[in-house]
Amino acid sequence: MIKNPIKARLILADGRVYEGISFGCTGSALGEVVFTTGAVGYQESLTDPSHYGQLVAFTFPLMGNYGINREDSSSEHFAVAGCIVREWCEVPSNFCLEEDLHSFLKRRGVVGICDIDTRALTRHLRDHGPMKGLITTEALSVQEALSQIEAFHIQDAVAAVTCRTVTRHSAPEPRYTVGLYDLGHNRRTLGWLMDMGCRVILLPAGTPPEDIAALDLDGLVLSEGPGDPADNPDIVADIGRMAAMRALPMLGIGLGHQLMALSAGGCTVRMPRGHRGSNQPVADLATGQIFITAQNHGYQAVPHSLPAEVAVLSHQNVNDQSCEGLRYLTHPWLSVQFRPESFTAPGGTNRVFLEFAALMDGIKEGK
Amino acid sequence: MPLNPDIKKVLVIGSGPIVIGQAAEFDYAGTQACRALKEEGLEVVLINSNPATIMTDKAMADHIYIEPLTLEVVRRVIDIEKPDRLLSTLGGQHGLTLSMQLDKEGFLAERGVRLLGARRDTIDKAEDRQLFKDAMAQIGQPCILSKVVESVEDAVDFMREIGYPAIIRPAFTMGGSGGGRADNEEELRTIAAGGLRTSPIHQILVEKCIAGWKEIEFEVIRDSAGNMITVCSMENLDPVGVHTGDSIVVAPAVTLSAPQLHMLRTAALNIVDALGVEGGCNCQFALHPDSLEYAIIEVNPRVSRSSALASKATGYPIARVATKIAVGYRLDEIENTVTGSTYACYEPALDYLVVKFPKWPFDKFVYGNRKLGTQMKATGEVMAIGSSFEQAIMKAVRSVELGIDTLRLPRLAGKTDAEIEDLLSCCDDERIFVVYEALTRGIALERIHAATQIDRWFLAKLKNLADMEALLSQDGLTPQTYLAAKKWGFPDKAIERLSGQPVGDLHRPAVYKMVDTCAGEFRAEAPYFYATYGDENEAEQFLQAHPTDKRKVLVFGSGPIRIGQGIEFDYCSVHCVWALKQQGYEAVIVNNNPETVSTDFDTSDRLYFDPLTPEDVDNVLAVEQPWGVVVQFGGQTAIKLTGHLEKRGVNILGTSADSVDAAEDRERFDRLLEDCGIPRPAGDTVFTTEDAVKVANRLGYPVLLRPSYVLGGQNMIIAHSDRQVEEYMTIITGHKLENPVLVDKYMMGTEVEVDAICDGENYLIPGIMEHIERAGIHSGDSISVYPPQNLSRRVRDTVVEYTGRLAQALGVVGLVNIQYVVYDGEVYVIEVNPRSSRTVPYISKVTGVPMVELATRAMLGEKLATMGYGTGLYPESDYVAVKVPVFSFEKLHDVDVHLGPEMKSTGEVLGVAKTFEEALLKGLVGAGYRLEHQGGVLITVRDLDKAEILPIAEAFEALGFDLYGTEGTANFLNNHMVPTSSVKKIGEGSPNILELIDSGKVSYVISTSEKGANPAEDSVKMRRRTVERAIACLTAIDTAAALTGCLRTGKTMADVELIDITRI
Repeated sequence: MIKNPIKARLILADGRVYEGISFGCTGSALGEVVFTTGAVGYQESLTDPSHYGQLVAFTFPLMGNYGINREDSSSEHFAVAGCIVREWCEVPSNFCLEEDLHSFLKRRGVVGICDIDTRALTRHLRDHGPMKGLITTEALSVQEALSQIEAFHIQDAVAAVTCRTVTRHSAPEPRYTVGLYDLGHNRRTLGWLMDMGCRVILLPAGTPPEDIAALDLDGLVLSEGPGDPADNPDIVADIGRMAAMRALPMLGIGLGHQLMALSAGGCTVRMPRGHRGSNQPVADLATGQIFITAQNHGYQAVPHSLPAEVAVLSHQNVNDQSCEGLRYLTHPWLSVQFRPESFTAPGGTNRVFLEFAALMDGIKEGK
Repeated sequence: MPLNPDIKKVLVIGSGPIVIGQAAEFDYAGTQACRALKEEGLEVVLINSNPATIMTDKAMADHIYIEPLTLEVVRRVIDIEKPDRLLSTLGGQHGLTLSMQLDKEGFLAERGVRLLGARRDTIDKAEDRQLFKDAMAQIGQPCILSKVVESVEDAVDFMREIGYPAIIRPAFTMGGSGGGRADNEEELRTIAAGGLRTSPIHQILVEKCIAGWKEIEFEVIRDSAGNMITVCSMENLDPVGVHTGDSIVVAPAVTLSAPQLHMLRTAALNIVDALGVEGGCNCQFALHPDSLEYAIIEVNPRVSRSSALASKATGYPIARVATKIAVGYRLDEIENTVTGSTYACYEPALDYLVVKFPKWPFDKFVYGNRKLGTQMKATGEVMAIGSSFEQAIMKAVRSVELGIDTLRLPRLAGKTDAEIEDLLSCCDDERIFVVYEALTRGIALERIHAATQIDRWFLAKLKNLADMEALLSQDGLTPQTYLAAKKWGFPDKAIERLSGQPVGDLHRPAVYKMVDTCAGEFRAEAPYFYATYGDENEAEQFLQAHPTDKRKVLVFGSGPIRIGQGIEFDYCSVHCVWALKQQGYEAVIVNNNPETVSTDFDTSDRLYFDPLTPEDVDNVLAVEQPWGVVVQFGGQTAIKLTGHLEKRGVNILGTSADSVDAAEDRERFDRLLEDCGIPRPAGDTVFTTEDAVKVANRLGYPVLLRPSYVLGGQNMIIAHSDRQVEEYMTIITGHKLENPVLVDKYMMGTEVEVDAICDGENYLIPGIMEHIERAGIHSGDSISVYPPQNLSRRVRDTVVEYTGRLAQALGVVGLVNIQYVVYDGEVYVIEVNPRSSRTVPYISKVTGVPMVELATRAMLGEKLATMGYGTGLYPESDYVAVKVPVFSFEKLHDVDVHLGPEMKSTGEVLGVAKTFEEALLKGLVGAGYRLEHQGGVLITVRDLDKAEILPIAEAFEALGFDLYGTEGTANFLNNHMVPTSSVKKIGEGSPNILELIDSGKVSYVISTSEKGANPAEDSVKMRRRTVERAIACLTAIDTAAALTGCLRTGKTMADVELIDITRI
C-alpha cells in the first residue's frame, strides 16, 4: 500500500471524473482516452507510437507484474501521454526485469493514475466511444480541465513519431531489400521483416518518392502509426506518385494500410471503439483460416469505398466484420490492419509475408 | 462447416464415480456436451455409473444407462442402441481409455460407430510416451529429457549431455524408493549406484530435474479446419513438483512477460496442431524461472479439471464448444453465448484475477500423508474471482471452509521461528499458511523463496496481506485502511478482530462486476458476477435493466467437493433452480465451486461466484433483495448460514431455522422424540473424560462417541472399552471444547434411511433404503439398497409412521433425511437432517419421483396432495437399486481403509436390476471390484467377528476358494471344520501375510480389527498393501456376506440385462 499517496484525477470530456492515486509522473496529461485489453504486453503498449496522444487505460487490473525490461519496448523513445491502471505492481518479478512500472513511467515522463475502477471506465468508453480526457494531480477545477480538454487535438501525429534519418538494418543472407516507410513503426515490425529475410531501409515519413525510387527496393512496407489517417494528405499523395513511377510492391500495415486505401480512392472511418489488444480474430478470406491477432487502431478502411476492380477484401474481423486487409488488383499491393506476425501458422508459415514476397518476386522476374 | 448431417445418434461416455483426480468437473462437461448435442436435434445415449450426476437426468439424454463403465458394458450398450458416433473426450481419462480400446479392437468399425472428438492417432500421440516424444521432436518442442540406463557410466554420460540436476528413478520399486535428486556427478554416481541395486531389473530412469520451475498451463481449442485459440493461461503458485490439481492456481498467468507468454502460447498451439486435436486440449509446461528454457510436462487432448476451471475463470464454455466442433462446426460458426454478439473463435480477455484453491481430505484422514507431490490428493476445489491477487486468495481461503478468514492458521502461532523455517521446506497442504506465517514474522522473502521456490511475486503479494494485518492491529482503523483492507479481501469480522474496533459506519458493501469473456469490450448478456470494491455495481445495473414481476429466490450452493459433501448437493441445488424457474420464479445461485453444473452461467437466472460466508452472502442479499432464500440443498455449507440469515430477517423458504436447531440441538431433539413417542439409542452429553467413562459404563459398551458440533461423522468412533473412551476424549479435549461430546449406546442393528418430502402437513417417502452394513459404518460408506430386502412389514410401517410424526413435529417443509437403526425388531431414530441428502439423486432416479422439484414446490407453498405423487410411502419400483460407495484409497497413502463411523468414500455408483443380487453385482462391478470366482481369500478378523465370519468362510470354501487366515482366525476356522492355511504375521518370518498378498494368490481380503488407523499398525499395513495390489479389501462382515451371496449366483455382468432408466 502506498504511504501518503498523492491524489490524481482522470477527467473525461463529458465531465465524468475518476478519482485515483498518482503514479509515474505527477502533473497533467491531455490525450484521447482509449482502453486496451491485453493482460500482458503493457511495456509494448506504453511504447507503441500508434498510441501517440493517447491516455491508455489497461483493462487487466494488475499492471507491471513482470516489470520493464530492455528488450520489449516497441520503440526507443516514444511513450504514451498517460497511463491508467487499477493497480501497479510494486514488487515485480521476472528474470529479465530492469525496473518497475512506476520508475519507467517517471523516466519516460508519463503521467499515471492508479486505483480507479478501470472496468467502469472501460464500459463508459465502450458505450460512449473514445473521448478526450485529462489526468492531473493539480488542483484544477473540472471546468478548467474541460476547457483544456476541449482545446486539445492530436495534430501532426506521424511527424511526431517518425524517425529523423534513414537507417539500414541487415539480416543474415537477405533475400529482399525493402523500405520501411516509418509512420510510427513498431520495432516488432522491423524485427519481423528481418526475420522474414529482408534487408530493411527505414525511411522517415515524408521521404520524397523520387528518393525512394532511387533505392531500387524490392518492396515498400508502410508501417503502422498513430492518429486519423485523413490527417496525412501529403503522404497519401506520395503513395500515389510512387505507384505511378513504377510497379513497386507495397505492404501496408495498420495506418499504412489505411493510407494506401485513401491513396487508391477509398475512405476511412473512425470506429465506435477501435481494436486494442491481442485477441482480435481475423479470417483470411482466401483460405478461411482464422488467426488471433494483436491490434491497436481506432480507424478502419472502408472496403466498399474502393471499386471492386481496384481492391478486394482479403481479411475480415470475425467479431465485427470490419476490414482487416485488402488486396489490390490495380497495383502489386496488399495491406493488413493487424500486426502481421500474429498471422504465423504452426510451422512458421506467414501468409501475409508470403504474398508480399510473391509480389516482389513477380516484379523481380518481370525485370 | 455446419452440423455433419451423417450424425444422428451419439453415445456419450461419462466419467463414473467421483474419485480423487476425477471429480464433478466431468458432470459439468458432460452436461454441457449433452445439451449441445440435443440442441442440434441429435439423439443422445448416455452411459455413466454415477447416479449423483446431472448428466444422468432424463432431460439430458434420450437413453440413459446407469451401468458399470466397462468395455463389455459399453459394447453391449452399442449393440442395443446402435449409435453412429461415440463422443469420447468428455468423460475424463476413463471414458477416453474405454473409447480408444473399443476403437483399437475394431469393435467400433465393426458396428459402424465413429469416434467424435478425438481421432485415435491423436490420442495415441498424446498418451504413448515414445510417440509423443517423436511427435514433439518433429516440431521442435522440448520434452523433459530422460533416459533409461543400466549402468552408472551411462547415467553420467547422459547427464553430461543435458546438464544437472538430475532425478533418478529406479524401475519397479514401490513408491519410488532408492531414487533421488543429484546436483552433480558425485551425487549422481552414489544415487545411481544405489538405484541400480534396488531395482529388481537393475535399471534406472535418469531425468532432467525441473523441480522449482514454473508450471504454466494453456487451454487450447482447435477445430477441424485447423483454427485455434487459447482460452486462457494459468500459472501454478506451487512450482513444478506439486500436481496441478493440488496446486494453488491463478489465471491468467502473472509472472511471465509478454514474450515468455507468447512463446508458450505459440508452443501450445503448435503442439495441439501437430496432434491434430479437434476440440479442447490442455497443455502443461515447465518454464525455467530464469531463462526462456521450457519443457512440456503433459498434454491432455480432452476436457479436464483444468478446462472446467478455465471455463469458469473466463466464461468461455469449453465443453460446449468442443462438442460443437466434434459434430462438425468451426470456431467461427459457434456463437459466444456469453456476449451473444461475438463468436467462439475469440480469445477471452480477463479483467480480474482468478485463484483456485484445492480442498484436501486431511481433516478426515488424520493419519494420511499430507505431503504434496505428483499424486493428486485433493477431493475438490474452490475458485475465487477478485480485482487483485490479495482479494482473490482471501476469498479462496474463506471459500474452502477451513474455519479461517485470513491466511493466518492459528495452529502455527505456537511454533518458533526456527520451526516455521523448517516447515517451509515441507511441501504439504498447509504450506501456503506456513509461508504466510513466516511473512508475518518478518522472515525474509528471499529465504522463503529459496525454501519454497514460490515466485517472489506471490510472496510479495502475500506479504501485502501480512502487512495489512499488522497495520490494522497496530494503527487501528481509519477510513483509508478500511477501504484498502476491503480491496484486499478482508472481511469486516477480520478487520474488527485485528483492529479491535467496530467497523460501524465505515462499512461499505461490495459492488459486483460481470464475467463477460471480453474485459468489457463488448456488451455482454451473461449474468455472471463476482464481488469487488469499485465505483460501479453491474449487478445492480443489470437488475435495473431487466425488471421483472417474478419473485426472486436465492439458492445457496454447497461449495467445494469433499468427503461427506459431494456432487449430490450440486445436483440438488441445480434441480432446485430448475424447479424455481419452472414455477415462475427467478432463481439466483451463489456458489464457489468451479467444477459444477450449478456454477454454469446459464443454469440460473443469475450467478454470483463468491464465498458462502455471512458477509459475502450479505452483499449478495443487498443487491438482489430476494423474496426468499433456499439453504436446504447446499449441504452443511448452506445450512450453516441459517442462523445468520434468520437474524437478518431473511425469508428462508421451507423448514425454519428453529426446526433445524431442534433437530441439531441434543436436548431439544430428545424432548421432541419423547413427545413423539419415538425411541432413540440411550445417550448423554459430556464435557470431561471422567463423565464420558461414567456414561459409557452406565450405557454399556459398545458406545458411540462424537462431538456435537459437527455432522457427517467427523471425529466419530465406536468405543468398546474404557481405554478407547479415554483415548478419544484426550484427543478431543486437546482442542478447546466449546460443545459437549455425545456418548450414545451403540446398537449394532440394521441401518435404514429415508428421504421424505414434506409440506408442513403431509409427507411423501419416495422409498426406504436399507444398508447392507450394520450401524457403525457411516451411511455414506454403506452399500444401500432400495427397496429394502429384509425389513418386515411392521418395521417398514413403523419407519413410515415415525417419519411422518417427526416431519410434522419438526414442521419440515421441503426435504428431510432420517436415519434409523432396527435393533431386536425395534426401530430407533439415530439422526434427523432437515435438508437434502446424498441419497436424493439416486432415489429420484430409480423411483421417478422428482424429489427436489416437489420439495421446492412445497417450500413455495404448494401441497403434496395436489402434486400428483400422493402421500405416505410411494409405491415400490419394480427394480432394485444398490448404491455402492467408491473410495480413493490408492491415492491417499497411509490412510487405513477400515470403514467406521467416519465417512471415507469420495463417490458412489449405482446398480439397477430386477433382482437384488443382480443389482449388487452391477454395483460392485461399477465400483471397481473384480468379481473373481476363484483364487484365495485371506481372512483376519477380530475375536468379536469370529462367530459371524464362519458362514462366510464356509460359503467361500464351497465356491472353491482357498482360504488363508492369520493364526487366530485360521485356528478358529479350522476348529470349525473350515480348512484354512495359517499365514505368518508381519515380522514373524517368511512367508508372511504381505508376501501372500504380493503373491497374487489372493482375490479377496476380509479384515476387521479393533486397533486404530495408525499406519504403523500391522493390520493397517496389511490393508494398505491390498489397496496397492488392487485386491478387494472388505472391512465389514456384512459386506463380505453380501459379496458371497452375489458370487453364489454364479452370474457375471454378461448374464444381467442392461437397463435404460428412461424407460422405468
